[in-house]
Amino acid sequence: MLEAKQLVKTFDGFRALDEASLTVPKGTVYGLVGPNGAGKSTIIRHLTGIYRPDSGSVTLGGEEIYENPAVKRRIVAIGDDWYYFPQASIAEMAKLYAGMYPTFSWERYEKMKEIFPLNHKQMIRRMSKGMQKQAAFWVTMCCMLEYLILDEPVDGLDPVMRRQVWSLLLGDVAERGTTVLVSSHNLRELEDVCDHVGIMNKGKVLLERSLSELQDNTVKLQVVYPAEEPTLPAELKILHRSHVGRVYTYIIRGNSEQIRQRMQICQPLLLEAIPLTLEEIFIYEMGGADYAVRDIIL
Amino acid sequence: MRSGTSFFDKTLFRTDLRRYWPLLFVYTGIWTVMLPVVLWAATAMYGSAENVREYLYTAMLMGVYMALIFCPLLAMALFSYLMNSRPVSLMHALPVTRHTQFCSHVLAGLGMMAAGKLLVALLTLLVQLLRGSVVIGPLCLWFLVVTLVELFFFSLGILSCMITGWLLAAPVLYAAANCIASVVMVLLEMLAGMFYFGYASPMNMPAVVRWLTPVYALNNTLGKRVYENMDAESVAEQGSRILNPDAIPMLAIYTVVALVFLAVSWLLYRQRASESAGDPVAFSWAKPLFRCGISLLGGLTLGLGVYSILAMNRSEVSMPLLLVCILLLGVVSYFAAEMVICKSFRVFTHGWPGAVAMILVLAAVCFATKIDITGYQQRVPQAEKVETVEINLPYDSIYAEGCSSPELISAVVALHQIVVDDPMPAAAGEEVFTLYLTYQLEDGREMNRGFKLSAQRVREDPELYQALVTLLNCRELRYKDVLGNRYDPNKTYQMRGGYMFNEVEGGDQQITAEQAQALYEAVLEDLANGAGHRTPMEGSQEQCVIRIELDTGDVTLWPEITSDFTETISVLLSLGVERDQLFWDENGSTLLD
Repeated sequence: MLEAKQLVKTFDGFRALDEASLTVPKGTVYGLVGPNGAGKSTIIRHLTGIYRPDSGSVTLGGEEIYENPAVKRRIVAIGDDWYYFPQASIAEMAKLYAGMYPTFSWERYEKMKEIFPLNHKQMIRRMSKGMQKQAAFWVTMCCMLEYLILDEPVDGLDPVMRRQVWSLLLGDVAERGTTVLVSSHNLRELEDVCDHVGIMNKGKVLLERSLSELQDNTVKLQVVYPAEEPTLPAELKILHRSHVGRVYTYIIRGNSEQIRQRMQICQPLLLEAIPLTLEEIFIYEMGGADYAVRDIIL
Repeated sequence: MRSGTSFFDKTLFRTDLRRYWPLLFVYTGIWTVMLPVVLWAATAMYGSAENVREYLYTAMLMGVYMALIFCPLLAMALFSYLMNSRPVSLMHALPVTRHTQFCSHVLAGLGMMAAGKLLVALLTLLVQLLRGSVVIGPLCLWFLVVTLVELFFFSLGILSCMITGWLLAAPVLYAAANCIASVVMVLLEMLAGMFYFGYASPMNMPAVVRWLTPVYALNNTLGKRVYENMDAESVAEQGSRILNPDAIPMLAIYTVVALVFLAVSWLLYRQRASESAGDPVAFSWAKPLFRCGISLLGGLTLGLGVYSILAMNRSEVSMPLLLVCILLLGVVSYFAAEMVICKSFRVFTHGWPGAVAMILVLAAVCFATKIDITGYQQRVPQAEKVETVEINLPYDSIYAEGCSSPELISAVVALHQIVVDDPMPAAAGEEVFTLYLTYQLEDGREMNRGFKLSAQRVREDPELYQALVTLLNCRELRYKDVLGNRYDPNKTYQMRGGYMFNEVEGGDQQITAEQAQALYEAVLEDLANGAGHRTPMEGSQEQCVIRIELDTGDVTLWPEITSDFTETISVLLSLGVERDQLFWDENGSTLLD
């Protein structure tokens, strides 16, 4: 289990992480989402042992990650801007990773040649951004490690290659029990692959649950009343309310079945629960954290 | 459980070699040209072992400059990843500790230079074998000396890289570390020269400055030609060139310093935050030091520079103008440093308290110098604590070093005391009487003074004038004045021969040992009888046409006699010198009847 507890990190007085806690269960695909500047990359750099926390702890299986090669040998990461040596080719970067990670598989490296249409002897800096991303996946996925940490991993990849990369990742999760932590803004994509989600804002992890729990815990209701909208039960935690004509839409936190029963008091003509997308959960949760889409006319 | 990790990672080592081999190639290439190739060409005609040996010692000196340039480059290349957030993220995410990373990179650098030098040494040996003059010892010594010098400059380069997170700042820090002591010394000398009456720059660079300027120290020590038998009279008897014995303790000390630098760098690397990549100063505790250092140095250097331009035509120091220049440029330097640290021009709102503090510090430095807080101007050594003194009175053409007679030392100290009790420096345009004194004190220290007095004042101040008369007519100074600076009045000399040159008509006459001895004894007798009496600021009108050279075997004496050297004149006449040829005045008339 990959775990960050009460993590604090300050840069020149700016608190980038403010007692952030996060738990990535083994064998899961964990999606870390949050607005720009929420602290996702900072927490990822702690999880990969790059940054030393000001306070708090970052552990893998109970062992500190920072300055612990034995633990770091179980984690490989692709940052939002993967670095390669200026004169290096994919083969040369692979040699570096192979030297560092004993589990590196040259057999897999050879197989990857069929997946990624790249010349592995070409200098990486001569490649396009998307090709460089493919190169990063090529090298890191050959490390065959237990934990894979990805920061904006498929940015710059074309739709086919995105699907290809996700397929490879999920294949590893299914076959080898690889744990994947992925940070992305593409919530629709994450929704398809993640089973756990953590939402960050202003250096804190606001909530983290399994996706099913999250979806079960928030309900989107479409309701039609016979007359004007009645007063709703006070105990309902309404995150959002809107209406078009007589059709009212509510986003309510809580169990779907219990909320439906409560709403019967209002005697609706129509009461329908619609599954929430991850994007909607994110937007409404962030709205609660004073971060929402504002209707601003310029 | 944390795993025990080794200090070395071969993957990092190989990666460094793969990435930075061009630097190694250039380094080895230059050494190959400088050593085996030049040796091959130079020994084509004169291929003696002595020539090879001589060249290898010269190559040690070259090693200082090669190390000075290549070591920081290599250090910057190896640790360049610390200067950028992307590479530092890659390197620090790898499963190796910072300890292993540091050691692996350091060993890679040292290994690369050692491998390059080893190749050069083997090629040099091959050249020696082909030329038939093999000198293994100096070649091994070259390898060892250059390796130690490289270790020092490499460790200094690494330390520079550890302090900053900005690649461009690393060479600046490295250069500053190499010359900061000399710069500070020059600045202090400039300030002292402005404010201290009698200030004279030390004859030699102070030891602490020399040690803190390693290029200078190593250049002087390794560049000094030392032979097996330095006391031999002829070059042929001097034997083979050897390493300057002073170089061994110096290299040992610099090696220890290098190891300390490496240890400090290692500690800094372990403490260094990855996110400091890109910051001009990587540690928050170093930022105030950086600001203050830049402000102090900038204020003094630029301030004194601007002042010297503005006060070009002033004879006296203008304290207000100097203060304005130094304080203004100190503040400018402070804000410039702050801008570099913050990478922003918006530093004025939060930077002013520090700037005010620096103004106070700089003003304090100026005022402390002005009021002579150390008592420099009034300091006169106690006569009994002076071992020797060097006197230079250009006005009277007096230069005497190593003077040690208590009479002379007392006279010098008395004169010094009179001068500092009532300082009266020469004003602009006034005739100057200069007095330079260098004391060697019993405790090994040196004390220098250089007074530029008003010549008018010297003539009119009876106390000062009398002190000068006493000094000029001290026995030791009079003997040195007449017989030469290297003459020791307490020593007995036996003449071996000599020459007499007629400087007007030309021609010389060799004299025998007996004749030379007679001349020498006559000079001594004249001196004992009071001949050669000097009066300050009154140069002799007499010009002795005959220049006498007396060879003692140890030193050569050149007695300069005047018309009151009656015994000496008698001996000269007995040696066949025409009486009317002895002295000519400025108009060409004979002075003696």
